[in-house]
Amino acid sequence: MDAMIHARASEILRTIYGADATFREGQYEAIEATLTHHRTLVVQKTGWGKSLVYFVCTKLLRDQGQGVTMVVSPLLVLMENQLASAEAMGLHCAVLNSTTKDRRQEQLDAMRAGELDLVLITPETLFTDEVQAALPSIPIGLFVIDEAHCISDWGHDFRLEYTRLYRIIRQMPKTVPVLGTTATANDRVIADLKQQLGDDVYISRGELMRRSLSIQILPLSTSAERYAWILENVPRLPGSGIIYCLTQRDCDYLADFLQKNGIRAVAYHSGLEQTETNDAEQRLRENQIKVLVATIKLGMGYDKGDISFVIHYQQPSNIVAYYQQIGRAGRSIDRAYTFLMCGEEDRMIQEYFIETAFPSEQEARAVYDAVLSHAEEGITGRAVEGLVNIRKARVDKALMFLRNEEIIVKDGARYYPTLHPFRYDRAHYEAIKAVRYREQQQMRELVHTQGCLSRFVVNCLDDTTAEDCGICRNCLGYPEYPEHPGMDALRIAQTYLERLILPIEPRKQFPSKDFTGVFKIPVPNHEGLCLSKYGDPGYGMLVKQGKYGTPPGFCEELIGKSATVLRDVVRTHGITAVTCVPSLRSTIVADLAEALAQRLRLPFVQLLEKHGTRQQKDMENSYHQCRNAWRSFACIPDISMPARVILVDDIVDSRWTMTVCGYLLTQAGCESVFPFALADSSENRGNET
Amino acid sequence: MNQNAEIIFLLCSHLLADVDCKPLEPSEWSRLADRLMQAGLEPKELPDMSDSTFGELAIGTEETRRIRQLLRRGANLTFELEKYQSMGISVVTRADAGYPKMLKARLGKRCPPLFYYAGDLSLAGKKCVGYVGSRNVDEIDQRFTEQTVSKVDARGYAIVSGGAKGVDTIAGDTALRNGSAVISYLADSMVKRIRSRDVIAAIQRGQLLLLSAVKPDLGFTAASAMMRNRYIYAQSVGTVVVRADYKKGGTWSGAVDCIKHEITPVFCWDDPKYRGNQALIKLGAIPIGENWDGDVTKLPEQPEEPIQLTLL
Repeated sequence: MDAMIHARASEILRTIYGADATFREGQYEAIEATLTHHRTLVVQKTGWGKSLVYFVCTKLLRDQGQGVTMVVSPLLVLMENQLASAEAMGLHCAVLNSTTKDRRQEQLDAMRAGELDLVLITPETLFTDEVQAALPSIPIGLFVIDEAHCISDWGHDFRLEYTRLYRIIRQMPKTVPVLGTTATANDRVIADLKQQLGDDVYISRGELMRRSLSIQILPLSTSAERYAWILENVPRLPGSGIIYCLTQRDCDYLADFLQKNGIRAVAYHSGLEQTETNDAEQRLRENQIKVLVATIKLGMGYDKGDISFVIHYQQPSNIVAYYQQIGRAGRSIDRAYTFLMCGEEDRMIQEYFIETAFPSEQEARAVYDAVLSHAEEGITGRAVEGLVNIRKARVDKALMFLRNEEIIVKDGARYYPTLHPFRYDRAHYEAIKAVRYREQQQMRELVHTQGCLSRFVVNCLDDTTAEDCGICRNCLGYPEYPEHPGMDALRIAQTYLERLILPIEPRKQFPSKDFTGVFKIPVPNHEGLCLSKYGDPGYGMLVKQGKYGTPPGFCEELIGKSATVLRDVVRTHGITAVTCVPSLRSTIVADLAEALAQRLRLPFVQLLEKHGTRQQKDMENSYHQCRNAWRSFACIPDISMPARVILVDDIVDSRWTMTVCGYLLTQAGCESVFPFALADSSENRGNET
Repeated sequence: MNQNAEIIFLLCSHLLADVDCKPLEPSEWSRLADRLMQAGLEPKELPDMSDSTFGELAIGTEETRRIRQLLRRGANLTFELEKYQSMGISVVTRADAGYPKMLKARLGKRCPPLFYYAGDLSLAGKKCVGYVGSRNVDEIDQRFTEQTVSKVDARGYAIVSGGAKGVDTIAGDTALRNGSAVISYLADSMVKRIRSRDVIAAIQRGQLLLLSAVKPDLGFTAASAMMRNRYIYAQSVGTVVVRADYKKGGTWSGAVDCIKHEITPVFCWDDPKYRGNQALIKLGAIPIGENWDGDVTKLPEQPEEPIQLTLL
């Protein structure tokens, strides 16, 4: 039997690569293991030829009349040369992901008819209703999990599809061959994968060092220094590349900064429209842009052979992610450069992500109780928000968490409780947190190591065979690119960051009383301006100090900057007066508005009054914030209404206060309302992907 | 699932109902299992069996092809099963230790190859008393059911019923209120059933076990309703008929079937108003009145202890 597999597999190899072709070390063994009812795990670096293993398996299985090979992969673009070898074997392949949606039905029909031999599919697409409905009538001959480390127990953050995959693979009958492949796995991940694939799993493991990559560490503590370094050095780097940031907001700002300074840069994250990200991928592929500024979203869906550099704007959360991300570079070129920026600030961001990864027990419990109270008919996410006083983002997180734990299920738009009782395994989540802290610690050790950086990385991935790379900063003994930016670049960056102003997007509708519908606002506010992100270094920090200082009050720097920003607004919008959101507790907002009015040479008028109520910041989600704002404000009776006003507040969060105040003003005859705030404290766009 | 159970699941599950290859019916599976057993083989050896071995087992080419095709459904079935598992529904096959032993013992080859279930499967190991009867009941029927269930409970029996409206629900609810265990062999709509808060609570307390031999989201079919009557009788030490129509309906035919095949003792409410009940008593059902003490072991003749069969 095995001799037959060997003969057939070698024959296939020779038809594609010529009479002299032989398998690379480990390739044939992996093929044989897969085809003889073994669970197989291939841990080999990029370029080793993992896809050849499943191509050959597919060919052999299809010849026996078995079903299609399903390759589940978060990374979908097969490289040209890989596709060519699949086709040389006579394999018909297709890619199923969100970008091929319009061909989906056609592809599924082809799979049903047995016309396709191998499909690559993202976990997200695999679990769409459309694919799930078709699946029963598509025989599957081989199941491949590419980037298998993604489904490792610790590795996912409520990416439901991965949890479901995990469960499915764990109980796939032994009659179905299962092959997992990854380039990135340490002993922990492998042990974890082993657990789900079964103890008799065959593991093929090789060296992980990528000789084409050099690593340089850049200890730069402030945003300005990092912006400046990028501005100065990206144009000096060959080809095109990627900058990885931890949050969507960082991507947007940095890309904007680079564009404004003549560098072709585009932001890439899940906060953008699908068409925008597709377009960005396309432009990078065609080398129309110099650099893509991306969150980890990119690591999960993109492949390009000639990426010449990868810059980490902040420290990634762990070595596995880091190795994966720098591995985007230098796949089909001899030399690529990677840079890791680091500083104390990164630690705070990472800690924030680690600490907020799980909903609290109270949040999870409250959301579960809301779902349970509507067990028979189900409940929508919005309706849950109406029942609990928890921030929307946290409600969403709790819903995902509960689904992941199979305590609730989603059917259509509604959530239902399952038979599994509510449980909150605090010790388990603490253990996950502890692992994440340890992994973060490893990243810090990387930054400070005196030895070969590449070797340190692969050692962390439990590859102890590696020798020194010879090309990293530590091996060379000197930096190939400067370690600090020049003064000119630093000044440009500082000026840009100081001028960063956030928009206050107007809300256009109110939720109806029972939160089942909406009510359109006749004259929504104008898009407003906000000086900073609350608590951020710079103005954001000054706002925090001003609000809680003794005595409270905003400093001259903030007032001066606000006036500069608003001068343009007054001119372009023909503003006739300044007013403010009233407060019963303090006069700092009124003082600020009055000071601004004076500088802008406009009258300050108090147009609104406030009734006693709970503070808006205690109201956690939209529904509750809106209801609270409604109860809190009213127009001062019989006041003469100016035509166009600036509405000042210190901090904007849900925007309901601005929305309700604006609505009251326009209902009383004001033509247009322009909101202004010193800081934004919402979590919006702080997302990781 | 152990490997033999996996094979039964692959061959017999109806979760992929829309595929053109028909799963094995219980009788077909039993025939195949017999042949395997006679040849000293286990189900888990089927995937690697050669044509000649199939031939030796007197399995024709067409049948061999069908079996092989069914065995290829592994990946697809796992996907389907996971959907139900996420709701809390699992599968138990004849090759699993947890499969209801009373059914195996009493129905033999006629017991279904697999059940979908929700709740604590070990409840099926308890001694049970069955309750069957009309969907339409009046207050007197209700009182009779509640009173006798409470007496049966007090003797430590679990209640087994069909989970339908009327007698089934009254019997089940009474037992749950009394803190006893309840087993329901459902004929349909398991998925809908487990969205009830009362059902969720009872299952989470470990008091309720739901079983269904049909796909968990399948709607009502008369055939499936008839089949599950037999499971109720087979599961019980004795079954109480509260009210049966005369010569029509599921309760009547289920009770007649049980009496004819001597599956378990049938107790029938001796109410002169109900012609169906009187006819069942004539056929051999044991008459009981409102003052029945709930002792199902007190019989004209004792039923034999269930025999342990190693049936796959």
